[in-house]
Amino acid sequence: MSTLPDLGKYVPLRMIVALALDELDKSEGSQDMCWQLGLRALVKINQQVAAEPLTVRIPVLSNKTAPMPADCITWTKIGVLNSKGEVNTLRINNALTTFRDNNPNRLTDLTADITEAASNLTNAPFYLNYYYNDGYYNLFGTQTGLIQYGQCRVDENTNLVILNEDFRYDSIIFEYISMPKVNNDYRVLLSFQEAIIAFIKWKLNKGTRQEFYAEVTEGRRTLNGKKVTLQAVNQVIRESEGMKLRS
Amino acid sequence: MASLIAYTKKQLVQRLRQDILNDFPSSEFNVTENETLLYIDQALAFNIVGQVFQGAKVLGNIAMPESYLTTYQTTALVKDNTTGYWTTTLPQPPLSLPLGYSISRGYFAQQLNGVSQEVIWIKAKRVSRRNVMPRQPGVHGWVEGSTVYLDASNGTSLYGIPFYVTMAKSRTDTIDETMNLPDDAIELIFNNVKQKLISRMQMPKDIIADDISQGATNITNK
Repeated sequence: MSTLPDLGKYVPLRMIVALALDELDKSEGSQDMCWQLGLRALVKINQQVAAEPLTVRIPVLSNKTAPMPADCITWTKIGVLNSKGEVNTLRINNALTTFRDNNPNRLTDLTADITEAASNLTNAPFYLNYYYNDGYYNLFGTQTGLIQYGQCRVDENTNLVILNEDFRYDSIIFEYISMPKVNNDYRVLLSFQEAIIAFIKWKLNKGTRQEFYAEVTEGRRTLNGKKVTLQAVNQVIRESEGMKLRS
Repeated sequence: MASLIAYTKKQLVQRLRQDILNDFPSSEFNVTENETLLYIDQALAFNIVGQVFQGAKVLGNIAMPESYLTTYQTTALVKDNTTGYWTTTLPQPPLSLPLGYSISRGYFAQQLNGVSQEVIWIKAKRVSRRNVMPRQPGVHGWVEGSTVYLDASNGTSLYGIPFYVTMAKSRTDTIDETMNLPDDAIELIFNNVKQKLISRMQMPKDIIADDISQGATNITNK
């Protein structure tokens, strides 16, 4: 008999289906049906908790739009990189129009109806606080605003990120949740193995919806990013503590 | 370890004939071995299906007794150039059990690469809708009569790859072959075939009962 892959962070969906078939005492004739159920469970879990965002750099087209990856289910972060390797997110500006956004001549088509607007402050980043003589000063009572390197709006219909017409960078950093990909077989986080089995049992009337969600919750608690570590607790304490009077 | 007697269908045929004829060969008994075999195969298939469903009632899960299973290497796969499917012929049409029990497994095997991943069986009612559903990688298979259709998800050619199928067997290849059935099934098959043969021949079986008094019989002496 062929050897099964070792258990790792990811396990093939087919192996999880085999575990479910074994538990339910079903034959190979039900394998494909249960695999389809497993895939539905994977999509459900993937959208809710298990997805690991992918980060890509997307070139900005000449019409100041950036095409989203074809496998994008939902985006989580749009920004540009700073010199420290951090993503500075762009400001979401839903006032940006989607008018002819998939047209190469989009920018020339954006003929302003209002021409007597006040001229922009062209220097980026903008500060809402007081800026004077190469320095800026905090003003009490003024909102802090957002340090922004550009503005964007996502057009889900055309799968485009629309950027402001004077966006200054050649590319954007795009973080998104992708569709599950089949690479010989779908691979599932080990934490959600039992959740997928519970989904299959639920749909075959051998389990309940509550049992499925209980397994999802338990699986989520064991995810790497969700576990409480001493290191994380230390970080929270150090970052939240300030110099202040103590009783 | 003492060697056990291998039960063959020929033995079963002989036992039936002896039982029906009371050990006395009769020229009037013109049921051939082949005809008896047909009755046996019929009874065997009927018995397998009945036993499986009866077992499901008791155990709660459907299961095929392993004794009925046989693994065959099928005839060479042939590509249907119109559909692109690969086809081969089973030794017999599967029994009327759900796919997965009538056919337990299917796989490819070669000396160089060993056993492949299992064929993904699709029940007939699901074949058409699989065209609009996600498809798991591998070779998908479905059955019509004794024809198996195989289709690799990535279009891989299956040319020249030996295909094996494990299925419940009820038909006879040769009369001398060893029977693939559990011993407990012989009783039912024996009785079933015997009943059919007696009925078919309309053979009254002599019952010699000398001790019964004359008055107790319905045979008149007049």
